[in-house]
Amino acid sequence: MKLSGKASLVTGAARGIGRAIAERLADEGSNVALADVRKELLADVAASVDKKGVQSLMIAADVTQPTEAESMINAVISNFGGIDIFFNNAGVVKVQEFFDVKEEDWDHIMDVNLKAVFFCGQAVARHMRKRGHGKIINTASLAANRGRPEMAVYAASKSGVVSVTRSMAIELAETGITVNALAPGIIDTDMWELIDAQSGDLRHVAKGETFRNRSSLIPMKRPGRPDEVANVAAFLASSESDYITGQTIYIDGGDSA
Amino acid sequence: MRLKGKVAIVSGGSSGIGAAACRLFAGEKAAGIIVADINAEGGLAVASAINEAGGQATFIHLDVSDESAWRDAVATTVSTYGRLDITVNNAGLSLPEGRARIEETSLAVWDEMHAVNLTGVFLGMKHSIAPMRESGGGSLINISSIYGLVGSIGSTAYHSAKGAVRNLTKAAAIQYAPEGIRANSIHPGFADTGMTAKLHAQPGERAARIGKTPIGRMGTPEDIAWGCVYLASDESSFVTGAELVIDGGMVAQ
Repeated sequence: MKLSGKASLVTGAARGIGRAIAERLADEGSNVALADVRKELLADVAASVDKKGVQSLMIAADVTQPTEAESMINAVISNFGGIDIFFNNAGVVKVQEFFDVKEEDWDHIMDVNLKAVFFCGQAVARHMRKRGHGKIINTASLAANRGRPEMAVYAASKSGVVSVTRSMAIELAETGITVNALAPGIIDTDMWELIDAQSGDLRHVAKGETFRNRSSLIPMKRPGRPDEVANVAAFLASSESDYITGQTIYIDGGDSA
Repeated sequence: MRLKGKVAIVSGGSSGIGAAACRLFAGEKAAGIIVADINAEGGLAVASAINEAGGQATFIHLDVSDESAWRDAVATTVSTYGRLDITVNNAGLSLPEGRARIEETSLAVWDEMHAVNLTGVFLGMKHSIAPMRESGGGSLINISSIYGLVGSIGSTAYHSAKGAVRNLTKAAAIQYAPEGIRANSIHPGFADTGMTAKLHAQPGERAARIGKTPIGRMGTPEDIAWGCVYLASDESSFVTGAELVIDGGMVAQ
């Protein structure tokens, strides 16, 4: 129970990695605020968090809307008394050929994956700075430092997350706030189901084939599980990692080695 | 309980980061800890403190640059505790004469620093792999340095050896991933350990290093050792070939 009594906020908490992180934080004794643009999916996660004997809080929020982000943060502070741990996790992806990318595609992916990470991080850090401590963990991706055909915008947005993580970490180092990022490789999630489906449509291959092919190229020969990402999340949220800041931690079965 | 049932070798376990890793491993209920070092006095003290607290630890004399010593150490580990799951290749050497630029670095100093800092890691991995395979998998944890990622005004041989450790770790990760043996490197920033004690005692050195570190303090052996616990445990089951930088923001700059 390395997070007893802590208050955490996870965006994109309804599914996949966000959900696994929320459940793992709860396992470690933290109260967890669950934010997602699809609130209808949160009840299930909240029930699972509640079962672990900590408090959950469901928040419907589109993190790209400043007023919604602000009320999300205020709701956590008023319900839990503050925010100790913030997972800037909400993200979107769209698989499309380079020549098909329209400005609105670029804007939407960048707004969710990078701009919201920056400004939600800024708003939460303002609060954490007053308290003299805090842990901000952004979700980047293995795609951050790789060329990703048909996912150029996503990859660029995640490179941006790695960069913002470094800069925030240095600027905030003396405030007691650490800022790090997770970089998952191929993880068995709803997002990969979407990537698989969109790639399948684009390349005319059967459902599941893209995911299987891509997984077979991982040195460990298997995709990761959301709970394996959540384990790193718990480490970065705990005092065990107090001297780590500005870093991006890869959880990728050896893919980036 | 994060290391319940697991057996570990920690080279350079007598002091600093290695000793902290041994203590934290014991706290996480490792089934056996081999404190391996050339410093018997310190290593025996680390092992006996763990045993007195109800843990299982044994000191072994190990010069990491000696291949037959590694063979013996691994054989003793398996005969004492029945298996091997974790090897922390932590033993390191920083000679005062090694804090020099390329032109001023003697071949003897170069060789000695590579023997411990690089060959020692190679041998540690080489002889750990077979018993890890027997255990159904394992975790190789190699202590590199932020000096394995960036350059500085001196420390030629140290940069070379630690940089090589970084990439040797990735090679090991790819080679043994199919067998469930993971390999990762840890890159400590400036820390107060036995190895840095003399340097940090020189006027201004410690303050200058803290000044370069965004978080504004030295790392402690425990700061680094918690990273070892994470990489040693099954919590990092999908992590291999990765670099864990624990440096107070030093290389993010």
